[in-house]
Amino acid sequence: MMWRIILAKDAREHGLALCALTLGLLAVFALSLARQSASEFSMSSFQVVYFALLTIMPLIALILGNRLIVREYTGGTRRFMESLPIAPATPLVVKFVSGWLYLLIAGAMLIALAAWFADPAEYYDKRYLALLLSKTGTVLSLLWSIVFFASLTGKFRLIIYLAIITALVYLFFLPGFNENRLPPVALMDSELFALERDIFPWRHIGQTLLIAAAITLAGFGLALASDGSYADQLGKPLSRRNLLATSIMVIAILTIATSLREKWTPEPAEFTGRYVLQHDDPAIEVAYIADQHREQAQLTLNNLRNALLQMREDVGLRRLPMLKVTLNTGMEKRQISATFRGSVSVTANFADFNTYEHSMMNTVALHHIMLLLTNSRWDYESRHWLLDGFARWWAEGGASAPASPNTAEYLARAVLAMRQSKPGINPLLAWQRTTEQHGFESAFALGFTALMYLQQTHGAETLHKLASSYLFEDPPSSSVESLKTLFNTDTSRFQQITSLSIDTFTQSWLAWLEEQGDSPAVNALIDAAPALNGSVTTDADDNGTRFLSASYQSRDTQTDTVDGDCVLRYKRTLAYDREEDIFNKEHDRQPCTTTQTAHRIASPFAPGDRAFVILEHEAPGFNWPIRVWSGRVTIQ
Amino acid sequence: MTALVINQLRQLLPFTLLWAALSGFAYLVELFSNRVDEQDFLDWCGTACSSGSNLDQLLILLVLCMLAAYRLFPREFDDGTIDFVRSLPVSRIQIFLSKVLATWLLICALLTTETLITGALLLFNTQSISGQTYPLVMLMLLFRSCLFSLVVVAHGIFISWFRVTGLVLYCAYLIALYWFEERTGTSGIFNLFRFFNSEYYGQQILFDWPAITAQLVLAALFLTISYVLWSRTETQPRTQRSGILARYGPAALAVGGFLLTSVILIGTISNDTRSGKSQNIVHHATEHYRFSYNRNDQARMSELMRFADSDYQALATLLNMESTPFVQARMTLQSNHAFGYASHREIRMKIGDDKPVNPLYRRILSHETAHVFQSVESNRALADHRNSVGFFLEGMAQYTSFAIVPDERRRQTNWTLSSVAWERQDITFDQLAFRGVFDATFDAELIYGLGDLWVDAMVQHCGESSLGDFLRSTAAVNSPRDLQGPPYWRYQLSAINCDLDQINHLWRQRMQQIVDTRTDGGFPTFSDVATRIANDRLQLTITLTPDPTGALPQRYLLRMANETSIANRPHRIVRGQIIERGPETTVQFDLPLSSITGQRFRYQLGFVPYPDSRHYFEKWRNGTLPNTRQ
Repeated sequence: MMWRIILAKDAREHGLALCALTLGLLAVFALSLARQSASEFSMSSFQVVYFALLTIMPLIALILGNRLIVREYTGGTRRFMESLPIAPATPLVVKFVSGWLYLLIAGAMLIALAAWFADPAEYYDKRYLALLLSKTGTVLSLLWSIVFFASLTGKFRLIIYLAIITALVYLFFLPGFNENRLPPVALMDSELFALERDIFPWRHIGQTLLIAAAITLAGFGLALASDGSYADQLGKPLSRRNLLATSIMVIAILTIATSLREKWTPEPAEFTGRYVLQHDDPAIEVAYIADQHREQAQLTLNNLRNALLQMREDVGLRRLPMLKVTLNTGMEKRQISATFRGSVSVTANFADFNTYEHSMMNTVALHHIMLLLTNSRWDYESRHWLLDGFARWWAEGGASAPASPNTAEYLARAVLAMRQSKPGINPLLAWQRTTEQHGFESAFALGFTALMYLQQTHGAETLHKLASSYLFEDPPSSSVESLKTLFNTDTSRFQQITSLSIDTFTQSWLAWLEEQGDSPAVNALIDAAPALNGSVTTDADDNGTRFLSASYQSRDTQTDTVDGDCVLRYKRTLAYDREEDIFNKEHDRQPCTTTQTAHRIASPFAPGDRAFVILEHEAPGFNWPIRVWSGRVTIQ
Repeated sequence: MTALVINQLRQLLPFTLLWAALSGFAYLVELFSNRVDEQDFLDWCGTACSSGSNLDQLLILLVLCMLAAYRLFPREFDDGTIDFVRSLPVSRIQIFLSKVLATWLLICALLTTETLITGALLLFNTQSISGQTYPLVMLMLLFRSCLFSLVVVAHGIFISWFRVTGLVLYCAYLIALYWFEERTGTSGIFNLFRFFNSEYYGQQILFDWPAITAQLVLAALFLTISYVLWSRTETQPRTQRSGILARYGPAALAVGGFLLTSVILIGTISNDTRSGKSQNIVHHATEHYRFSYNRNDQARMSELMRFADSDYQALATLLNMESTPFVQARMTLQSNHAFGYASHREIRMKIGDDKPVNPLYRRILSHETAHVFQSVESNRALADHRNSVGFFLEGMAQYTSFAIVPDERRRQTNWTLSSVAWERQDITFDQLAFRGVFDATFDAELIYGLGDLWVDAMVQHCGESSLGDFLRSTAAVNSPRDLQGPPYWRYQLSAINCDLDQINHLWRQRMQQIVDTRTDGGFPTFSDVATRIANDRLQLTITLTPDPTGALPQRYLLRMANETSIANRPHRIVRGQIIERGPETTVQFDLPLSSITGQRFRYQLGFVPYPDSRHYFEKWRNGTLPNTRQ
């Protein structure tokens, strides 16, 4: 009957604290019931039991484990128990069973309270209460087994709890793992736990109890093996060696987890339906809406196939990801959206695209294929101009790109953009600013003309080498890649391949670009787009209504009249800067003028809001508008 | 004093190591899963830099500060080491202050170290826009975190006097806040969760100073009480020699607290949910439902129950259900915001006061039953993707309920309203398929009409059987779980041989046709929002411009985003007054300043376009109290 004496000793030592704990638990539970009752969208009072099992009961179990087990093992009082003439397992069994029973009784009390306070209209019967009791008991058994085991690991218990939480979080985020079908998560389904009133999940209950039993046995094994010497060791403070080993283990797990995560890419879903054109190698699918779009879809497929084949041939790529293009007639013509994950998906309204616009869509598609091939690394700022340039270059046919009918517009755009740029900053290296200031169309044009110049001076082979040096890299998603980049910068790589420093190259390219502006075709376009500056202000009238106003000023003082419309685009933006663009339909279109305020709209934003604003000029001769100004304003 | 502080810091070494380990682990995870030279300021700042309350940041700091506070006194008393400290030639107030100061300084030092590490890591990102840093914001956030840690340490020292029971009491405090917010909409400046409320004026971060100040004052009070408690407590509190207060205090407080809360709550719950008394509730089972309702509603319920099973059967046939779940239906809902809602095999709805019962309620029962079928037939798989399928769940329930209980007029107005919103607010399928984004941008209730139209397009393209097929297909074991939004839909629809782009095309075409052919209803536009404060009330005056039909609705509404930090309450809706001045018509909304937390607020403007239709709301807008300056 030694177990009775041990139980009485534990009751004397912890009884009062456990009483207080129980009453505190009941107070918390009663409050939770009141909260549930006050909630507009609550379904059942019994959902509070679920809430308690996730929140307060783990805390109670931890406190219980700490009092009953940890104190004895870390404080060394266990030795006194060992000196008693009883089986070594007896004290531990008493502690396990008393803690377990305490939790089970607490759980039963919670269910009784929930039933007592339940809405009279909520129907429940004995079967439902038995179902709830069995699920609650099972979950509490698992909880207690974990606490019991962890409590026996002394100073390591925190690491064990952290490891359990981290492992669970990790598993929950695993794409191929459905934790909801497995015990004990299946048992703790947020809706089924309280709202399933008939079906006993015997399988999940059984499996959860098995897990609990296994963990409990592991706890007993740990405590009793080698006469408890392992538990003794674990009860002592962590040595430096332990700490080092733990740290190494954490780093190793992180490394493995990171590398594994990168390999989980979902299989691309295939287009279905009869309005789909397909090509096998390279794999391309173009989905369209109706027969009338078939011609454009075919053109899209042919263009993309040619561009991808050219790219593959130029750099010797073995495989290309699947490319899927979707027609969306609801989109703005200039909005070409692209995503990639396993495959590349491009969505655009290509129903009425002209040659220039097709080329733009192909450029975006190639841009994202190259991003996917380089694990999203090629859009790092110091190398992004090459990505944009190559996307444009291959979309226009690679080595034959300079002969493209679109080239004059690219050159004109590039010349206009560079005339607008601030001197002293290398536009290729500050690519985020360049793109935001001039728009993605002009950024593609700048990158393209830079490569055109490089092709002219160094030959297409150099371009192939440059592209290969990025395309055949397999950069990891971790900061190891960042450190590598520190020692092998993009500027040094450029110099290594071209034998030119990036600054020298930029200077000579800009000079060449300015010369290109004198060619008749380019010059005609530039003349149609007078040099404009823009400015945006906010003000309020006497009623407190806020306005957003924009004006244009001619950089060339001789120009008073400007042909074409000017467009003000705006959207609310964050307090902190990120690279942005605007494609939404909300905008203000007015005839361009430099003599008065061109746009004045009642602000859709409130004082203190920050807006990203773009001013564009739809210049005659250009397919898409020229960006005049972009920036962020705070509404005053 | 300095020696005491240093000694205390030494005692807090395990806590420091724990913090360092957790922080180091978090940094390692970040560095191993991201490229440091691509991480921008917002990536590092996380939710601490977002607008609104930032609970996750707050909770982590709260737990750590509590841990530190719990190490200060209880252990010294339990081990008896406090006697050695008290034997030193220093006053008890000095001992107390040294412990508080040491803990707070240590936490501040740890927070500062983290800020410095983050700042150093940010330097790796040299990109011209995303590489920008905001040192002033970082300093302000650090300052606020330090103040917060002082408050929590004060709480911790106070509740640690109650030992472990104190933690439970603290849980009770947090749940009480939640409860208070659920009931009243705000728990005021005493809500600890308001500490991390952030607003922005341009790039200037604004803190909730009234709440911070109130919490600091309370913290000072807690520290004073804690000093009194701890300085009068002797060691070995569990022996016979210890005081009665120390021995029975925690239990007495827990019992007292429990009894007090129970009395209050029993009263509250009795008023709310037990008003009908058990004997006034009737439970009646039909073939497919168990209805629970008030005896007073007997006549209306009998009328409704006449159709319930046949409507159920019609729905089951429409969806070709493989199993027919038995449904619990509680018809006692009292809500101003919803007619009903459903969960797994459970429905809550209201029955209304109309005599005879309005057919609307029959349709609502069918609508909610469709939700139960969705849950059962998809084997709850749709719940895992509720962000992507939210519009479909509601749209399908609308579609089937209108098919079973037709109401052409209501459906037409819903469709018109949704189509106008689609056109004016530039709503895309991509937004609809991310419910979180949709609700934060548009009127969340638009998903009913937009979803109904989308499901109608789906049925037109793939056939009526596709509804049930889709539900069953999502339950397939090999369905990918990590897909979201349009990719999820593309995948799932391809599994039942449907094409997302075709459906979307039909959907847009239908809505455009409705917009183009509309001749009735009043859909004015709002502009020129002016705000002013008069008599402690905020007035918003907005100019109305009628649509081409020239009709102006009679009812105007302003929906104010709820300011609760933790509770999930419906948004508050205010009626507007029409004011006509010559040719210009304006609408004015008037609401108490007390309903606004901080200096900025979010709201939606709306109206009721048809006398018998649901409301139309524009996108969410921001508002600023007049005279708010950087």
